[in-house]
Amino acid sequence: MTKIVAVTNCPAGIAHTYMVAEAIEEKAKSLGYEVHVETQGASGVENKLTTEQIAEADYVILAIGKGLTDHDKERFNQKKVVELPVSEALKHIDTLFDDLEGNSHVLSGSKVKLGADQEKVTEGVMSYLMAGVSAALPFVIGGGLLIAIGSMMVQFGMPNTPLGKGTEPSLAWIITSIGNLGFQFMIPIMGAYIAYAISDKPAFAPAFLVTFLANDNQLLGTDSGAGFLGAIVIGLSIGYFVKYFKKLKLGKNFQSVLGYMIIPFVTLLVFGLLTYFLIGPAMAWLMSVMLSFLQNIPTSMKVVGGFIVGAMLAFDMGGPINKTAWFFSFSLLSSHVFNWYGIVGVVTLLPPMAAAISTWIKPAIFSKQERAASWSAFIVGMTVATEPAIPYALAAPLPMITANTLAGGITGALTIFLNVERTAPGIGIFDPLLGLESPWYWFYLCVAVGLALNVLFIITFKSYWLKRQAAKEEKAA
Amino acid sequence: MNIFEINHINMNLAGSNQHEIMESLADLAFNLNIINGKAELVKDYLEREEESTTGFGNGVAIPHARSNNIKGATILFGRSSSDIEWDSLDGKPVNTFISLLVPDDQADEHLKLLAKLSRKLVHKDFVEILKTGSETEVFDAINNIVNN
Repeated sequence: MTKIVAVTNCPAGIAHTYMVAEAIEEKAKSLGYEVHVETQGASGVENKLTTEQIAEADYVILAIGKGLTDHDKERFNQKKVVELPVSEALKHIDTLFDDLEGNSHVLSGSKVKLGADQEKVTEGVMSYLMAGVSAALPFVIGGGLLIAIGSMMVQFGMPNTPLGKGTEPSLAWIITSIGNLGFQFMIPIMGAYIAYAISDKPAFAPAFLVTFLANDNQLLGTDSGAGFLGAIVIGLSIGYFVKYFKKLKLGKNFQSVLGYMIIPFVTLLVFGLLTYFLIGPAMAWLMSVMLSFLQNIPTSMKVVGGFIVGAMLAFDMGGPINKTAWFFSFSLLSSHVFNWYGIVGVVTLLPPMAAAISTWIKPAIFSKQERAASWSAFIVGMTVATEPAIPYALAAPLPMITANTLAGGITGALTIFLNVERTAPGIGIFDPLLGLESPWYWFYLCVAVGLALNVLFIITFKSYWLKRQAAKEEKAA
Repeated sequence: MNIFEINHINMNLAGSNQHEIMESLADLAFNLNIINGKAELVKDYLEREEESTTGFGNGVAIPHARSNNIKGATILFGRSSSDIEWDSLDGKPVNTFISLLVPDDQADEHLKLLAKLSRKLVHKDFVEILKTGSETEVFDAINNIVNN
């Protein structure tokens, strides 16, 4: 039996959405087809198509009057799709089914196509995080490559002169500074799009601004920003807060300004203050506790300490925990202790490189966008920054962070056991060639072992996690 | 106020073109205290028509609007004595109008009723009543859908 799924929507969402839905259902039934129609009207999405219905459908009809987001369309990737304006569907309902094969085209190339197992994830927290991932990836890719170019220029002898009174900045500095913007804004963009995915436009601005605040150590007066975990917490909190806020009834006079004035204003005020007075101090406290803990590790337990520092560095990639471990290692340089900073040199390379390698070995467990970003993640990761690993971690926090942390810990222990020393920041994997990290053979051994473990963990944990997610979705469906 | 009442029907809508019909519907809505401003409703109707025609064929049009100007979800029904050019999907003029009015912040239940009514509009027997039935028949047909 021919199976059809369809989606209808229209400008006002009160008439044509439903007329066409009904017309398609009636027509399909009269032809003896199985049919499911999702309506996207003023009262929201009804009869949402399940992944199973879509998977089984021979044809997809999209009768659209107000467009369909890429994210929404991605569900129909690789399906035979007939796409037409909703009014055309109504006009030609009698002939619409005559040549579905001839009028359909195979939908492909939507930007965030998920891997085989991950297709199931269409709703819930994971889809919100994915929205953050796809928004943030271009920031980290563009920014990361610029920073990599800037760093290369400096390492090859070009001047790195910052902007100052009476001094012209050098090109390398300018390029690096522009690139840094990508990393700086990646985090608030994540928070903003996570919230946006949950409750639409009213949540976007407050989530963007509050995440920016939480990630800005200068505004917050802390030694580190909240990083991508902060973006997740704030994005989700604001998203859900606004979702319920929107249901508020204010009466005729205020209802119209609820969405674009009252909600953004109140949400920004409440969450801005909460972040300033709660998240900031909590983070500062956490960091000082962790730092004094690291400083009190007895020298006899160096390998255990190496594990802890390595794990911390890989845990939140630029967040407070990473920053504490980095600060601990870096500050020892002034007392000519170089082996803890050696761990930084090795472990911070791992998460982005390992994520990239994993997409090559097992592409099915990554989205198309994640796969496409792998080369730049690899290049930026091996030279200048851990940040390219963040979107991969955001897409699947539990397995990715566990894999990175565990691999980082083991590699940290190995690195300090072999006494790899690093004297200054350089360009990642090339540090030994610049004489910044030694001995070179142990350095590369540690990196190789770390990568192998990290990739193995990512593939194992994420595959298992996806299976669990899929099973959960099945149950829910 | 109910979403649909007998006095929401005007079997003799004044007007000889699209704009005049819209004004007559706006008059009806205004007199029923459903909208704040007549001109605004006509403007909203026209904006919606610009997106694509609401004349879905068979001589029936469903001018509709979603706006703050509207105080409560409402269905209006009208017939005109002359045929009105409406740029319909089938190219034919219309004489039967069913207008859906929804406030911006409309609660779900009323939207569901309107959705139910919209779905009926693709059924030929229902449209036939709208086109040729008496005032009572039209009222019963619509009322059966939305007030049950």
